[in-house]
Amino acid sequence: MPKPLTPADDLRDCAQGWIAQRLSEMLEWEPFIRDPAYVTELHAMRIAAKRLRYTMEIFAPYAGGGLDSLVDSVKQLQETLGEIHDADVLAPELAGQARKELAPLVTGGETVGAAGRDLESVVGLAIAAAAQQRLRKTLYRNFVSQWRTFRKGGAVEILQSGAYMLASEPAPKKAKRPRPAPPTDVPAASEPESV
Amino acid sequence: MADPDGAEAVSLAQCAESVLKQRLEVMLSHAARVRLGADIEAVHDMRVASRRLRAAVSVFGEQFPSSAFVKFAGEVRLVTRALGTARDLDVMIGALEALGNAQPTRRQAGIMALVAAKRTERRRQQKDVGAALVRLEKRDLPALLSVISAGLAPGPLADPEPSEAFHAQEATDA
Repeated sequence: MPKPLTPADDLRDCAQGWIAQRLSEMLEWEPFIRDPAYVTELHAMRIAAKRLRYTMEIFAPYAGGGLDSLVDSVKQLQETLGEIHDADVLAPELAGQARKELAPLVTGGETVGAAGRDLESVVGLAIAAAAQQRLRKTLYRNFVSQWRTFRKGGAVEILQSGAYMLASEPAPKKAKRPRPAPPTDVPAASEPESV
Repeated sequence: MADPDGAEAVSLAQCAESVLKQRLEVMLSHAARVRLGADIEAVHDMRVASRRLRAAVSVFGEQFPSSAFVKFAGEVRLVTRALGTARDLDVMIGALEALGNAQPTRRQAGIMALVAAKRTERRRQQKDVGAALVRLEKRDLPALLSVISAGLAPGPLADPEPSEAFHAQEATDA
């Protein structure tokens, strides 16, 4: 495991710059969280969260462990948004198939009558689509809860400030005498709650 | 910054080279299983690895101001796309099968017809995946990265703002 970065490191500046940028890209979509109908925007937020996570993972080995729990939190947000997206894709697919199944009956009218199609298959598609809607509602509530925890725990402020770099000062070359380890730069109370 | 052994300082450029090399190796390590086409998890693993590599390409791109690096980034993007479409279909097929199996037999036909259609689409996509892997092999990305790294010189800090080229690539990939 590499040693944590110090303020003199180029890589530290690079890490802070990129993580802050990827974070801001994710936060652009935050206003859309309030309404579950923002399907496209929540998907865009998922992509932004994924980019943030992968960028954090590049620098996590150099952050002295300060990014680890934050990576986990972003991963959880990203995964829940991914499951929401899956439901958003599946429900219309199922509805579209139901429409295909119904089309001959609708267009054929009385010439097809009630004899021509297996409507049980349409019922199956409708039930499955409805199940996706219910699942989506649950996932959305979970996501909102996870986001509030992410926000309340101060994760955004930590990522913006670069306070995840636990060892912010270079170690002294010669210590005159042993002394207790100093407290880390990130107080425990500022760590995001586990979600 | 210290190297992985904590022994001596390494530059941002050296770190960039190391991260790109490691992530490229991970991505390529999944190629053989993906080529066989029998393991959907292999597609997932390679797609995730390619995404991670792309993240590193974005972050460190400014360290490599060369046309070779733009070419490298483009090749990674192409394989990510092919794998992404295949993976999305795999996920959908799995989810639809689960939904179908949760229904009584008399109500399964419509969902299973949809599964069959998606499987056909997935088989077509496997051809694209195979073509992307062949292309990847021909382009010899490890050799290309070596060429890029050979021209690497310690320089000023990278601007954290990604270049226009990377913005354009990422926008199309979303």
